[in-house]
Amino acid sequence: MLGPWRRGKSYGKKKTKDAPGRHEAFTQREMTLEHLPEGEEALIDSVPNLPLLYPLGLRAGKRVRVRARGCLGGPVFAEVERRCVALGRRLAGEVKISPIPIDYEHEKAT
Amino acid sequence: MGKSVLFNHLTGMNVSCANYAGTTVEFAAGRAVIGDTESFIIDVPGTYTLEATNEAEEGAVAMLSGESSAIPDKDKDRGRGHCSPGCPLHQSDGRLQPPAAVLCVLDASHLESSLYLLYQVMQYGFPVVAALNRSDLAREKGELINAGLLERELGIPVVPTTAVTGEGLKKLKDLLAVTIREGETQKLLPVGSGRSAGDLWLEAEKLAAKVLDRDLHNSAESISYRRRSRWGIMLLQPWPGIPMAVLILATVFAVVVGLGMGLRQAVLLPLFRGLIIPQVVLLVQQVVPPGLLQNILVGEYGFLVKGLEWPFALVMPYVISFYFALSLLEDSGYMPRLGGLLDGLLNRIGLRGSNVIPLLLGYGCGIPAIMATRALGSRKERLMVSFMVCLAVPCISQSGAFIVLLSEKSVAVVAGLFLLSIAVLAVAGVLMDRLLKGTPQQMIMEIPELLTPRADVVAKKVWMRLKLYVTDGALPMVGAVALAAFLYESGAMLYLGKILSPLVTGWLHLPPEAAVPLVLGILRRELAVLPLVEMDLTALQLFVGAAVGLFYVPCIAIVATMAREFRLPTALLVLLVTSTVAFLVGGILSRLGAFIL
Repeated sequence: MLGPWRRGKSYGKKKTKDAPGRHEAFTQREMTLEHLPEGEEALIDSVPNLPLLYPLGLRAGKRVRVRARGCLGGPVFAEVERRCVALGRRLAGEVKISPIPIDYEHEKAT
Repeated sequence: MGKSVLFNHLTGMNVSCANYAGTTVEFAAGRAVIGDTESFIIDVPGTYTLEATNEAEEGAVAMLSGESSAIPDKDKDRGRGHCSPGCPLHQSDGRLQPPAAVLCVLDASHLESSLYLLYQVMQYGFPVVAALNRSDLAREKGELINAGLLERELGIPVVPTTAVTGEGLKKLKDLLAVTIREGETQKLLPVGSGRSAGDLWLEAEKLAAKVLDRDLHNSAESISYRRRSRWGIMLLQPWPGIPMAVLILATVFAVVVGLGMGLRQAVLLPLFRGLIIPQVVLLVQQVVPPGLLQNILVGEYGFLVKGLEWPFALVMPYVISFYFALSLLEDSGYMPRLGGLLDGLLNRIGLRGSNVIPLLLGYGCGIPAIMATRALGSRKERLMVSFMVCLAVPCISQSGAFIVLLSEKSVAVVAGLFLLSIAVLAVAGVLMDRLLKGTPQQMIMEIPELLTPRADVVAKKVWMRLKLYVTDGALPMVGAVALAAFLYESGAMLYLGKILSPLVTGWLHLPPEAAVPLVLGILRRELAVLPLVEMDLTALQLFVGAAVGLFYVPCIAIVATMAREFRLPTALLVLLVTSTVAFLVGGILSRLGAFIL
């Protein structure tokens, strides 16, 4: 009955320590920033076409980390390259992400 | 960030600056001697990219393309000091004079997006100098930027600066002089025009990676930076962020009320009541013969008595304490954090977290608050926030008056009045959200680094606001009290009181002389409250009077600002709605209070 969206909701309440591991979090077919557990890092796949998102670092290929989640359906505080941005919950749901490949740094360097 | 600080340094002017994006929403022009010639410098609202997302940013873009609308008429007649006939900024055809050079302020701590903006600016083909600002912050983060390499790659002068300390300013001025001189002799071609946004981003990313010293990256963060960023995150998390927010706001309230009361009781009241006013009265009584004129000057409502005591001894202490607290909030970078925390709650009443900034500014003065809404994304949002500021956000002068009026009963009554205002704000928000057209937007707001406010900057800000209060607040208040004195002594007030008596005595259950604040309140917000201080009222009457004053029409200057920023009918609607709400709430309160007490 509970779809993946529902499932993601519980993540916000948990401490990073108890949050499901990276692999469990990414088992869903399409992962968005809305459900990325706090403290976990991911790679941005695509963002909605809004002029403000790009200069704040939310661009495909960037590493993103969720630093906090507002209560009462408040925003997701995402950090890209040490710049923190508050994104409305629905908007965060439109930012598609994927797990960081293990050899990502190596790949990027070559 | 830091454009306005640089501008202040270069021109010796004082435009406001703070630690969050979107502080500057209007243009400021100033003169500065650069090299050996005098130049006009224009401070432009900040923008992340040239794809503008709000009205303040649109202005910045229009400026570059030379549209005369870049400096809107509404700014011209605000006496900002430019755009008199024959203004050197305009050409004969009314278009803006193309700039001799553009000073592009880059944020060294967020190099990539700054470079993208720089590329966009360079496409216009003006001579460009780049200030690599906030280099202190970049250093703290352990990021070393090779400015020399950046300069060579870009082909324009790049100067590392730290605006708040003035580091790098001299070099910046010298290079600007050279660039302006060279720009006159050689024709520059637009750089890389026609490249797509995607290409520009790739290029900016590549260049940023090249000039950033990656070896030190992530390893050399200073201890203070780490501590600040840990706190910065903690303040955003519901736990401990929300209890901290409650604590911070309670402290702000305590500082504003406590410091203000202290200043009033210990310094300003004794000074004015004991020293200045008696001297003035003595002097006037010797010079002016007893009669109407003497009464107007030093009688019961004499404008040399109340006109000095109210603005300087009763209200000014709170102006000082409020702007002290606000400057700390602004410069620390806490305001956007508070907005982020409250976003979920504010969504329920049709607002967003970023609206917290103009609303908080409104507790100082409604005019900068309404101007600050230019940095909001949609017209609906602008209108909602501006309307709320007009309706139920008391400016500091009025809050000072409330404290004077109500704290004699108890400070809890003051807090009760503020809770009432928040309740009305919530209802107004829900209603407007339903009534006004437009889809709710999702919040995108940068959370700036947490910074320790600098004592010199805070002191300067409080001083600037105080000066502005004396010229724009206190002097009009003296004038309004003079008008009141005239109306009072000539008997016109008695007549007005009779006309308004069904409303004042019949509906609000206040004494007939309470018509006075209703008349004066049109001129200035605090004057809707201060005359009540002189009356003998019961606790309920005090609260009703204060509530009516709170929701009653905003001052005449705010109405003018609303007409300018929106349209005249909007401003008239504000007048109608605010007075209706004021009398409605006042009447209900007086009946409810009589029923309960």
